[in-house]
Amino acid sequence: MDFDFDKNAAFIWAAYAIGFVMILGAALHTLISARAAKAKLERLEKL
Amino acid sequence: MPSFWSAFANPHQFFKLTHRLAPACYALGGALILFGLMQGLFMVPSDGAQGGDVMRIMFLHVPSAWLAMASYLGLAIASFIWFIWRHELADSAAKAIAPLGAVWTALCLITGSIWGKPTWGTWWQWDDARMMSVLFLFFLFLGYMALRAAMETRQKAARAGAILAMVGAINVPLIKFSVDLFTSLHQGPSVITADGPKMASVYLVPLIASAIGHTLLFAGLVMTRMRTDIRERRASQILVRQETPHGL
Repeated sequence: MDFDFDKNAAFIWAAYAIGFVMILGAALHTLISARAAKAKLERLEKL
Repeated sequence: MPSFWSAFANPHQFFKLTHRLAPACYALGGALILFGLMQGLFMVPSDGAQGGDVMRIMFLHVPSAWLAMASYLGLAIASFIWFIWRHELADSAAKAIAPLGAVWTALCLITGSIWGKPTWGTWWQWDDARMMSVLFLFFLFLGYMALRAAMETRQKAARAGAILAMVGAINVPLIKFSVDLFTSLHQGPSVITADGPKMASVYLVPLIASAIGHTLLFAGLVMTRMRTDIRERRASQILVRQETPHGL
């Protein structure tokens, strides 16, 4: 494994860091919304 | 015995199928993305002809570009199915795809811009056909979501959104052929070409793995959002029933 990137290392790490944050954000939003919708429906169906 | 495809027509069967399929997509997609990441960042040799190590951004930028276009086509197809057959799951799919498609398109634009600065000396070029057509794709996703949100009823939102989505689909082949037809800093295709891939397999294998991984992750997220939409609609129906006096 080669961890030593050339002079453009900052660009590479910036791109992957932004990618990680964006994809993680989309996934978290999806999963949190799913959990909230499930909880709300279960509450309503119990009434 | 209901067929596999009937699960995508019946909400109840869709729920049963995606209960296991969505997590499987997350697991396999995550594993492939990680494989592509490790290979692309640390294992494959840098390519001097492509600017040295900065070409490693390709393993994130290219899958996000492919997914941006594919997801818009998915949006357009789901919209078409709803428009013709008025199938509610198709509308759920379209509604689920749009925000995720916007995220991956934004990712394509941002990573492309970051790659462009050291490669071409500029973050952005307003007269570049590839950049502008992908930016337009991003605006189409946002416009679709805004249009749906502006409509008073779900039916109106679905109809207006479907028309926009289907008309906007013309942008996808424009993006694909933009580098051939118009002026662009962007390099020409090197994977999907008439003569086959021009890329060495040492780069092609992690790239394809990464692309499949992103697609599976995207599919899992779409299924989860569709399940959320179905639950929200069911909750709305219960609330309406509760608020409606008996006999009316």
